[in-house]
Amino acid sequence: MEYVTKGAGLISFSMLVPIITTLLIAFLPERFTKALAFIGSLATFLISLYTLKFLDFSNLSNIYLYENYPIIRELGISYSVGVDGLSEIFYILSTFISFLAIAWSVKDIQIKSRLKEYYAMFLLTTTFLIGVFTAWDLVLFYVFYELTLVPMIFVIGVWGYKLRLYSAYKFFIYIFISSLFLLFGIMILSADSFKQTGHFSAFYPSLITLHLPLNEQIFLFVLFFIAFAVKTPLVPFHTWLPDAHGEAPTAGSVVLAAILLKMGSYAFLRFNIGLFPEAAKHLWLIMVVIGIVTIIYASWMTIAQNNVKRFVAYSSVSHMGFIVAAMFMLNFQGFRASTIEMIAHGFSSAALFMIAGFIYNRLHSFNTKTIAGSVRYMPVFSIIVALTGFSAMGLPAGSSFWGKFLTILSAREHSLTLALLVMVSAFFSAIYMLYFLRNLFLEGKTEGSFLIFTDIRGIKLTVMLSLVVLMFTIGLFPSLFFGIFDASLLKLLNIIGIFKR
Amino acid sequence: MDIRLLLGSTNLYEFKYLMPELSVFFGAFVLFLLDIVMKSSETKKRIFLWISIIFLAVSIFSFSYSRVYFKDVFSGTYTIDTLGMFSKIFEIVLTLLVLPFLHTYMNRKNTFYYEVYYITFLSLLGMMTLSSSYNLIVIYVSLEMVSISFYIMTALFRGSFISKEGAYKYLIIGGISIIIALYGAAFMYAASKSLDIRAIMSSYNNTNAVYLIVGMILFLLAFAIKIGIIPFHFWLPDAYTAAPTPITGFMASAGKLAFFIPLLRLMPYVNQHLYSSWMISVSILAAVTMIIGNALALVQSDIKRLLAYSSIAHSGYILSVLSSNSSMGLKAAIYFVFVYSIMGLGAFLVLSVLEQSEVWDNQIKNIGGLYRNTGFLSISFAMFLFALLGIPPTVGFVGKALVFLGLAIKDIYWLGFVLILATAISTGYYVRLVVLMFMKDVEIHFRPKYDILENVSIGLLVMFTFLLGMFPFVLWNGISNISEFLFKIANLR
Repeated sequence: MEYVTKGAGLISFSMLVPIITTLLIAFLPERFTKALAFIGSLATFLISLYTLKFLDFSNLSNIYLYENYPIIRELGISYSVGVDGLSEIFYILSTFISFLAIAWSVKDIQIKSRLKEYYAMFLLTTTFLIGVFTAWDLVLFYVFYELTLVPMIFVIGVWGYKLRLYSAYKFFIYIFISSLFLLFGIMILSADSFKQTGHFSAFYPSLITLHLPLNEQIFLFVLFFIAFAVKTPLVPFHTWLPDAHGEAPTAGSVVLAAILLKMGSYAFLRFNIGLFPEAAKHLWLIMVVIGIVTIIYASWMTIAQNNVKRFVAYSSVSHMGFIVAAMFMLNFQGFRASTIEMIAHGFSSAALFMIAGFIYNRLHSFNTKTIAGSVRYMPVFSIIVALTGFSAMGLPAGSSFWGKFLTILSAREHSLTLALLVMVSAFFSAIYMLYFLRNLFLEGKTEGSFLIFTDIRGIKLTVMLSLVVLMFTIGLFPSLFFGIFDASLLKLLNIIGIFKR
Repeated sequence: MDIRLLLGSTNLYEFKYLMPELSVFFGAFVLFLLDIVMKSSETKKRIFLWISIIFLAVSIFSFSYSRVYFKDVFSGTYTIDTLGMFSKIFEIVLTLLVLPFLHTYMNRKNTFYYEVYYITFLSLLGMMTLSSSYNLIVIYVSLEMVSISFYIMTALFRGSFISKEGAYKYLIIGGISIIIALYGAAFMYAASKSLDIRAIMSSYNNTNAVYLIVGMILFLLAFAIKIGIIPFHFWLPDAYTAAPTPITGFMASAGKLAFFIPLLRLMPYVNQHLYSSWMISVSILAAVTMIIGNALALVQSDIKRLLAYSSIAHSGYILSVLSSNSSMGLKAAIYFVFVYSIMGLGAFLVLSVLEQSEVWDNQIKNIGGLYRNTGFLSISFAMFLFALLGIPPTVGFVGKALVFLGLAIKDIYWLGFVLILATAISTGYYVRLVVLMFMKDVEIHFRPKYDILENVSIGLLVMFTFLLGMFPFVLWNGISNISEFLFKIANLR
C-alpha cells in the first residue's frame, strides 16, 4: 500500500469548511443562517468531488490525499486521514447527502424554531462523517464515530416529533454503550501491537500486519461486532432505530438512514473483516444467518407498521441485513454487492424519508390510513414516488437490483440452499415496497380534500430528482461505481485469502 | 531515624526549595492577621479576594526560582520532584479558579466568612506537602491538615442543619480513617524500621511480609476513605452536599488530586511479591466503587448529590487502572486524576453559579430548559457532563481510553468490562441532564448573575476540557516522563 500525499490537506479543509460555516452562523444574524448553511454544505460537497481529480483510477487501493500528524507519538495515535476507493465513495456520499438534507430543510416548514442550532448541528455532522470515512487511525475513527452522536441527539431531541426525548435518549444510550466495547477492543489491539512489535499503534495499515491467534481474533471480532451490530443495526440490536428514525425531523432521518447506518456496515467491512480475517472466516455463517434473519424479521415488521416513517425505518433495517449478509459471504461478488447496496440504500432511504416528510408537510400525519391515496393528486410527486419505490424494491435498472442480484450470486458460490434463502428474503423486501406503493396509490379516498395540495416543486423537486437520477444511474451503469471501489475490495480479498466452504 | 539527626541536619538553605509552600503559608498568615485588624466591609471582601490571588500567583511564579527536578530535602522527608511540582501547580491553579466563586457565593448568601480564605490556603498547603513526600509522618500530618480544613469548610454555614450534619459525619469518619492510616503506618514502620515509603516497600523479605502487607492494606484503606471508595464512602455525599458548592468543587478536584498522589507514589514500589495482594484489594474496591457509585448516582434527584456520587465513581475508574501495575497504568492513572480535577471542578462551579439565584434548589427537574435561561452556563455544563461521560474530544475521553489501555496491557479484561458496565450506567444520568437542559421547555425562569471573574474561570475550564482533549500530548508528554521516571527510580533500589 502506498501513501500518496498529492493534494493533501483537501480532506482536512473539507472538514474545516462546515466548522467555519457553523461559527459564522453562530455569530451572524439569523436571516443569513439558511443561505450560509446551504453555501457551506455545497462547498463541502464540491470539495469532496474535487478530490476525485487527485485519484489515480488505475490503482485505487492506495491511500490518496494522505495526511498524518501525530497526536500522541508514544501511543501511535495520529491524525491520519486519506481516501482509498472505498473511503472515497462514502466520503462523497456523506457530503452529498448532508448537502441534500440541508437543502431540503431550507423549505421544510417543520423547522420553525432555533434555526441557528439546527443548521449548525447538520454542518457539524458533516464534518464528523467525513472524519469517520477518511480516518485511518482506529482511535481517530472512534473519536468521529462517537462525535456523530452528539449533534444527532440534538437533532432528534429538539426538532423531532412527539416521542422525541425518549427516542433521543434511547438512541444515545444504545450507541454510546455499544461503542465502549469498540473502544476497549481498539485498546486491546493497541496493547497487542505493543506486545508483538514493541510499540503501541492504532494505525490501520500497521495493525493488519499483526499476527493474532484465532481465539484473540474471535474475542476482538465480538467486541467490534457489538458496536457495529448496534449501529448497523442487526436484528436483536435494532430497537433504537425505528424510534430514532421515526421521531427525527425529515432531514435528520435522511442523514441517519443514508449515512449513519453506513458507518456500521463500512466498519464491518473495513475493520471486522480486514483486521480479523481468521475470525471472519470462522464466524461467517453466523453473520450471514444473522443478516438473513434481519432481512426477514425486518420485512415482516415493515409490513405491520401503520406509521409511514417507522415503515421506512424498518425497511432500512431489512436493507442493512442484506448488506451484512452479502459482506460475510467473504467473496468478491459479496463485497461488491454489499458496497453497491450501501450506496443504493443511501439514495433510496434518503428519498423514501423525504417522501414521508413531504406527505407530512401536506397532511400533518404519518398514519398510513390517513395518507392512503394521497399522492394521486400530485402528478409529479407521484412519479417520483413510483420510481423510488420500484428502485428500492430491486427491479432491474433500479438501484437495489445489483445489490440483491450479486448477493444471490455470491451465495451461490457457497451453496444452492443459501442462494435460495437469499432469494426468498429478497422476495419479502419486494412485498413491503408493494404494500407501500399500493397504500399511497390505490387505497383511500378517491375524491375530495386531497385536491387542494400543491405538487412538489422548487428546491425539493430538484433534491428528489437528483436522488432518483442517481438511483437509476446505479441501476443502469453500475460499473461507474464498481470502478471506484473494486480495487479496495480486491485488496480486502487478498487479506482474507481464498475462501471456500 | 534519630530525632536529633533530623533537627541537626535541617539547614535553612534548604528552605529555598519550599518557596511555593512558604508563600502559601505566608498568604494564610497575612490573611489571618488582616481578618483580625480589619472591620467587615465591601472593601475587605475585595481585598481578601485580591490578596489571595496575589499570593497564589507568587506561589506559582516561585516554582521558577529553584530549578531542581529531583531532590530529597530535609534528610529525605521532603521530596522535590516533577510529579510533586506538576500536582502542586495544578492544585494552585484550581484554587485560583475557585476563589472568585467563593467570593460571590458568600456574597449572595449574605453570610460572609472571611476565615474561608485562610482555611483554603491552609488546606492548599496541606495538599502541597501531601503531594511531595514519601515520608509517613509528613504524609500523616499533611493528611490531617487537609482534612481538618475540610471539616471546617464543610461546616462553614454553621446555621444550617445539613451543613452541620455533613461536617459531623465527615469528622467522625475522617477521624477513623486517620487512625487507620496511623495504624497501617505503625505496621509498616515495625516491619521495616523506616518511615520512608520507598525504603519500606523495598525492604520486603519473608519474615516481615505479613506485617508489610497488612500495613500496606490498612494504609490503602485510610486513603480509600479519604478518596471516597465504596464501601467507605458514606461521608462523601453528605459532606459534598453540605459544603458550600465552590468548596465542594475544591474538595472534589484539588482535594482528590492531593489524596491520590501518595497512592500514585506507592504504586511503582509494588513489586511482584506484593502485587497479588495489591491487585486483589485495589481491583475489587475499584469494581465495586464504579458499579455502585454510578448506580447510586442514577437514582439521585439532587444534582449536587448526583455529582458527588459521580465523583465517587470516578475515583473507582482511577483506582481500577492503579491495579494494573505497569508504567502505562500509572500514566493513565495520573492523567485521569488530573483531568478529573478539571471537569469535576467545572461541573460543581456551574452549579455554584446556578445556586446563587433563589428559585434554584438543585433538583433535577428544575434543570429542564436551562438552555433558554442561560446559554453559556448550560453549554459549559453540557461540556463538563460529556467530559465526565467520556465523549471525545474532551479530556474525559482520553482519560477513559487510557484506562482501557492500561487494563488491556496487563490483560485485566474483566475490570475493563466492569468499566464498560459502569460507564453504561452513568450514561443514564449524564445524558438525562443534557436532554433536560436542551430539549425540554423551561421549568423555572431565572437569570443567573455572574461576574467577569466567574465567567473567565468557567471559560478557562471549558477550554482546558476541550483543548487538552484535542491536543492530549500537552499533558501527556509531561505525565509520561514523570511516570517513567518514578518507575526508573523504583527499579533502581
